[in-house]
Amino acid sequence: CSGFGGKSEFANIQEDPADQLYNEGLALISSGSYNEAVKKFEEVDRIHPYSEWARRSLLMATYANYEGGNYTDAIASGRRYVTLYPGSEDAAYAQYLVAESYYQELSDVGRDQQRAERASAAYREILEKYPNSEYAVQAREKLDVARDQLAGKEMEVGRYYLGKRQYLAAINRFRTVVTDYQTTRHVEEALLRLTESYYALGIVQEAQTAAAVLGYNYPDSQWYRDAHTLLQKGGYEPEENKKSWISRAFSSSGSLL
Amino acid sequence: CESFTRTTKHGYILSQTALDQVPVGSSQEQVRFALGTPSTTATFGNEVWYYISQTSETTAFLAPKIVDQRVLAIYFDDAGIVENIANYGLEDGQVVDFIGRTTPTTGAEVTLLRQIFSSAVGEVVD
Amino acid sequence: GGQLLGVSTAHAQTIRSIAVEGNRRVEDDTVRSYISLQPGQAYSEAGASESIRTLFNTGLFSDVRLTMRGSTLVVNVEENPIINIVSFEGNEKFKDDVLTSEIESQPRSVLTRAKIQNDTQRVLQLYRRAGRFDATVEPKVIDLPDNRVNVVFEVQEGRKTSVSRINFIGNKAFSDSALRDVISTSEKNWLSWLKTSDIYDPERLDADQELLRTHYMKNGYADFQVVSAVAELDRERNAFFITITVDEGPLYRFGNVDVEAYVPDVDPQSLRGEILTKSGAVYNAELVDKTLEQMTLELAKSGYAFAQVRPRGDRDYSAQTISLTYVVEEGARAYVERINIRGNTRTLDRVIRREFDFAEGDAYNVVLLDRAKRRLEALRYFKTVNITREPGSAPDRIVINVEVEEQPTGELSLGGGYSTSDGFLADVSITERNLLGRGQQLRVAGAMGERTQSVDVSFTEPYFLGRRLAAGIDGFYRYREYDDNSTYESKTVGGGLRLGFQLTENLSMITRYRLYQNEITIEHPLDDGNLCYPVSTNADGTINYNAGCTLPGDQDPTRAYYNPEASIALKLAEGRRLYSVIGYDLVYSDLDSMARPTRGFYGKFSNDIAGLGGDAEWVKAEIEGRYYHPIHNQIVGMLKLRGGVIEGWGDDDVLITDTFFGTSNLVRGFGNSGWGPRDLTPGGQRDAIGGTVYAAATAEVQFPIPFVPSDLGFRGALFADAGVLTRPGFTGNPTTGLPGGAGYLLECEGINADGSGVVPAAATGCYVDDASIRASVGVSVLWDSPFGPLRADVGYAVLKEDYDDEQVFRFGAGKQF
Repeated sequence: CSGFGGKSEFANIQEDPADQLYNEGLALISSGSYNEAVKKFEEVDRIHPYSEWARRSLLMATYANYEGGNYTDAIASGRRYVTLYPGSEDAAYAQYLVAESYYQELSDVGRDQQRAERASAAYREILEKYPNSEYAVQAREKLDVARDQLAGKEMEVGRYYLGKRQYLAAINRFRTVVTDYQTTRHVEEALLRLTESYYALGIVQEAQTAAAVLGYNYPDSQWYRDAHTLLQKGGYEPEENKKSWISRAFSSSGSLL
Repeated sequence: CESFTRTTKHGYILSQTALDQVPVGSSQEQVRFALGTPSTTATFGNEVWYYISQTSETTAFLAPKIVDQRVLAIYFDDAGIVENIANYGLEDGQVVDFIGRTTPTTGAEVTLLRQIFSSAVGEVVD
Repeated sequence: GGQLLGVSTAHAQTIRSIAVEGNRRVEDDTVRSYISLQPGQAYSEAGASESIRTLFNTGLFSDVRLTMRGSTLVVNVEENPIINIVSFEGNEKFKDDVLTSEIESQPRSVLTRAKIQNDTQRVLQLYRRAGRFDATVEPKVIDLPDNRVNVVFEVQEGRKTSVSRINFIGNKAFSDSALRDVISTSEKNWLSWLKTSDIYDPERLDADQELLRTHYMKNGYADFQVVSAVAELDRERNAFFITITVDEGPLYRFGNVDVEAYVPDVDPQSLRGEILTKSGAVYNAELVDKTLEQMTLELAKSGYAFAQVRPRGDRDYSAQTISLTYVVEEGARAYVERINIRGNTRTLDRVIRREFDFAEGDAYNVVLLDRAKRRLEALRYFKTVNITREPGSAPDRIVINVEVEEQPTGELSLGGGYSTSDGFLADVSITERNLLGRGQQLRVAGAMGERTQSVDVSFTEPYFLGRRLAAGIDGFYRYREYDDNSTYESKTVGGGLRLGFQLTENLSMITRYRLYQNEITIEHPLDDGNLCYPVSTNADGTINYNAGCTLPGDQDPTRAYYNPEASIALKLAEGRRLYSVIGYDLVYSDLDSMARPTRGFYGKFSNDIAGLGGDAEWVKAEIEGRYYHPIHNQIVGMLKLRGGVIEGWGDDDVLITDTFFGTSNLVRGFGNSGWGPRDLTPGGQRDAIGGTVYAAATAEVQFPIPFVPSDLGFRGALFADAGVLTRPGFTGNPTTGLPGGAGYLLECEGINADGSGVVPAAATGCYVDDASIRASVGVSVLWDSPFGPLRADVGYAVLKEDYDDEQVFRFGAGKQF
């Protein structure tokens, strides 16, 4: 940049000590005025960027933003904390707050699932970077919920195409759930939909295999009963064709449970 | 100009000449070269390739009617050689009324109030 | 600025420990976590440079040096300073927060030399875009203790430089002013304070060159080129002179036009029907593109999803013709693997997905993709619709990513209006085009005026039963007061169902059922309950009274011998009636734009049958045809034909309030219900009584008003209207007539000198129905003002009857009148 130095009209602004500002921030949090608290913590970060207070303020700002419901700011300050202090013991908590911020704003499966994608990425980062932190357990649970959302979206689009009798498009969507989202609750319905789709197409063998695998893994699920009655109407029984891709999908990775 | 009925082709565009080049005994590469990537396949083991095509006609506002539906199934043995080729037509299709129930999911449904606020304030997504 | 890459040559020694020096804010182990060489590993050149790169990528450091000191790897870093405060001085045109949001350097973020330079450029760009070309921006960095800095941008805005003159050289086919209307940059004039297009913006000038090219290519100049577009700055007068030199090249016409197909069993002749570029016609690049699209769609429809159509033109310079061959070739066989839809935080996925004619797994066709994009943009739910392609999981697989940016779809519109027929009118309407993201539309509108009040509620589901079938339910309340001649009110309350669908690209149909109650109330100023009617008028003009008619004492017999409040025909229509009407509209339109058409045809045929229950039984049919044709450079000719007929069936007669009236909309130069059959009973209110058959024609020429720049939205028009209205509805019959007395209108047997009609013997009043043509000529001014479209017509009636009401001036503002 050209010309270091110049007017010094900023030099003489009186700046409060870091710890005083930090404690004012904490007081504001406990009294519930989160936005004010965030401003205080940002003051500390600005005036005393090198102090230990600055690190703590950045963390508390993330927390205040999260509690105050402005998730976008929480994500921004949380991310900055993790970049600046990846090694610190609070980094896991900051990353957790980032993931939770996405999680709070999950939209229903009919709409864009970007937040679910980002939430699952953030939770996965906790499990990879801070596996033994106290947040790992919650992170795993929330990861499943986020992935369940993503599977739900695949099912939603699959059902849309099934409704329009575009069986090919529907089959491929339900397949993605069976192969990529085996651990989510949607896999049962995916198998039932595959039974319906293949049966409507006339490839009874695949329908039977899908129903058999559903029955094998979820014998008492209502989805299996639906698949069974559907096949029986046509005089067929769900019996597994060992060679079909669906049974292969499950046998090679061990049974689902 | 357009007549009242529109025909639309969905899925794989089957051509008889390409099909003749993959008799029983040809390898997966030959099939892939002649017919292209299958519409859907086995996830593991690659032992069944399906080429699914469908033609439907839509007249004005009536529901589209499927007039032709063909599934070409190519079965491979464990060595990846074409063991059997099956052809399913529209007549094989069964009439299925799909189950209405869906697996419950979470996430905030867009309510009227939320829409009014969000449209006023403009939804900000990171 | 280059970062220093200092890696001293160290031999491959194993590292015992890593020391971090020079860091202030960033902790030691943070730096260590970014180093790829760990203790116990051997020092390597690659590891070192990789670590340096990762450290730089964090943006935290201005300099990084790795050296070996004995067995310790020393990481020497110099942190970028932290920005404390960013401020601007000398800026008036753009406020501080506008500028701060424009630049990268923010308080508490890291300062880098590159960021400062980018920010300076960005602020300069902002000022240039606003026409301040001699503005300067000086960044100043003030050091503070603890490696912190304040950043000040000192700005001198300078004066606004605008474009004072645009000249064209080499243009023969179109005049300078015509070309100025084509491009978006405009000259400084008295309205400059209102617009920003008179500022010199290099990007806009480039876009203008493209506008010129498309304009010429549309009008036959296939070889058109912009030779140069130069903007000279005249420093003293602080203004730009733009000179655009063009080489028009010859005017081409289409030579012979042919189709060749290189796709097995595609018959080229079958595609000839799609050709819009007729040989002999003036060359038009836009029609060539449209033909390509039509042909590809036709091919996709008949199963050749991968066929591509390419135009091959060869010029014949001497004959100045371009003969065109549409070449059909086999395109790459690719299938759509997935359609990912992103950004729809409010709109449901299916509302977007259903606009695609193809599903996942179908053949990839770029024309169908463009059509989906156009459809999505036409929904007006999205600010931007961005469709990108990615290779799929196999060479013949393509993934389509649809990125939408939503915009508020609720509209609260307040309108005001004045029209000579309805007086002042205020209206408010709330429309939500994408209700709950489900693609449904809800509209509630109300209007209050001197003579009208109305409330309309309508809900539409565009994809009823998952098909392209727009189903809707409406409710309405309308009150209207007529006091041109006799004063009466009409109140209508009701609702309806409708179902609309697209038959072909341009033909659509709406079927509807409406159930409403209408009440006509006539003011009875005299309210004397005593209805007196003249029986007949004798040859000498004396009138025979109805024997039973008794006149109250002081009544002036000449005034009271008729019922003065309203025409008998109107009195017959008084009262409350239930209408149950089923009907349909058939609309064909290939207009190039609905708002301001310049080319194309619009036709509408509507047919209604009242009588499925209800008190009215009639069949009504109306037809409207409008044809627009560009005559010459922005002058548009328009021909309009309209007609209608209504016939009763069953035992109910068609009341005059259900028939057509001679409105000023049909033939200008006359008042509303100013022409057509009229009750001329002597001493009566001379009410218009409408007619069951009408026809009207209009010829109009619209043109830009000379000397007024076109971007202000003014246009002029010359028009000639003509119309005929005949055979009035129910005018009473001898036996029934009005409550409490005979009331029966017959056609007058001539008109007396004072303009009243000669009442035939058997009737108690008479009307005139000479089905003569009324015509008028006139001039109008149209203005697309920021508050909505305004239109003023001055019409002079040339063919008229002496009992018609004329009205020369007609003015409509606000909503479409």
